[in-house]
Amino acid sequence: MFDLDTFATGLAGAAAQEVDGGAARICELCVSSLPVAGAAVAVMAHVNRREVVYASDDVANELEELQFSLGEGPCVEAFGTGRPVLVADLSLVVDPRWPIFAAAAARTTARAAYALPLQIGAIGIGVLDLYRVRGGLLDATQLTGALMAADAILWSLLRLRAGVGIDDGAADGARWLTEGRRSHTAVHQATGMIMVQAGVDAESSLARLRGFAFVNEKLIDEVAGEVVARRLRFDERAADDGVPTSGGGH
Amino acid sequence: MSSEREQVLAEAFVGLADTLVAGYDVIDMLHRLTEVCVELLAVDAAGMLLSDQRGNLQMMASSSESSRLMELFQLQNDEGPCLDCYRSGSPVVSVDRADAAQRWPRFAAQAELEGFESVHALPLRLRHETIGALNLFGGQQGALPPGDLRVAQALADVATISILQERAVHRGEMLAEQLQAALNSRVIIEQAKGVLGERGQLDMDQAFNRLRTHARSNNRRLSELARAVVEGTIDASEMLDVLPVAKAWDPTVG
Repeated sequence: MFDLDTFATGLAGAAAQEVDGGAARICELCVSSLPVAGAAVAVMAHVNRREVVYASDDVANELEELQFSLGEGPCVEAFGTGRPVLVADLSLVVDPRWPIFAAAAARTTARAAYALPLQIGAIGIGVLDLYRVRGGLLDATQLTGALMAADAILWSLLRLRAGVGIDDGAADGARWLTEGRRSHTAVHQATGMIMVQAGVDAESSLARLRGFAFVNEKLIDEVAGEVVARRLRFDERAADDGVPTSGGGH
Repeated sequence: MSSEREQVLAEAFVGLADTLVAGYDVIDMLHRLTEVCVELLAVDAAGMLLSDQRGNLQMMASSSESSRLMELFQLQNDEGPCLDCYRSGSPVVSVDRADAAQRWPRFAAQAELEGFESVHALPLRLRHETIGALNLFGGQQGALPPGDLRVAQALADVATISILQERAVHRGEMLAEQLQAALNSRVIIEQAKGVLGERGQLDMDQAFNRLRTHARSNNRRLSELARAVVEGTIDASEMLDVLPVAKAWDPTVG
């Protein structure tokens, strides 16, 4: 029986624990808690450039490699469209979106696949792929768990890619999961504002926002609110050493 | 119902149906829908919240992008008529402040700041599943007339259909796929508002209006345009400097 609260606690722990092993630990947690046989994480710069950062078993790895070499499949589709791709039956459905992959996947033991994009708005860094040996879909609660796992992996990878050390980065992925029932609207708006202020892309912008929140022991939503209210700026020069300026501009 | 009002109602539904045919943008559609609510019904503000399938309600569209109004919607992750409506799958009606204060103290305090006296929340339902709720706020006390409520529920149903799109109907898993795509589109729009707001020194409402106006006058989908702004594949200054002369280039825009 899948228990969402226990799973969420496990995710927060896994996200907080280590920098480079976060994705692996979260995948392991998915395999042990959700009704799936395997899990893999592909990090993608774009559809044709990607790297499998973790695969829980040979089948999970093979599914990744197949899609990578064929350039099609649920994972490729999820990354390209920015939406989850949930396939209840890989063997029967020759999906027009991935005819060659479907034939190849039928030779593995995988019968259902769920590809969940790792994304926040325009920031898309990869896909969490889950598979199982019997067909069917995750129920609503299990899907919630899988979506939360994708969020946790996203934060873990963002931290790694931003080069944030474990000391300052620890627990902030977990914070996003546990910060409460929020929309984070200001976080997304501030991400866009900091992009312009510091001249960086959306991913770096979010990483700076998050790093600042952590160092100052504030919630990311609070810091974002200050940015949107134009009481805090992350200027280009100051951003080099990660120090934003206060009260600048308007 | 007066014939004049019937006319407005008919036009609104025709307009919504038009946007549903092809190449529509779901977020733009939902915004239009909340505006239609304010035009047609005796309410002063409308907003739509959707479940993010992680246990939270996310604001997807509102008749005004006012940040204070957004605050009111966001509060509903803790308490409020929209949350109750979403959980029960049934309409929730609160006709005056005293009633609201008793049921949702924090929500009622914020609603009072905004000058709202009454609130109605109607479920966005697909078969047995509730995916969100439509909130209607009024500056006057009292319940909406039954006819208005039926119109509001019909608009909520249109919203559900627009989120799911026609191809979704036969596949249950499409609900999750479409809902997540719509939620992410909303996030991209917020990011784009930030970019435009900072570039043009606009507040977030103004930034949204620039984005939406540009999308319409150039026949682009709102979410696609927002993505182009965030990814830098469109020059944001196009949206900032240019006064609404875009019409001159595109005679099809009305």
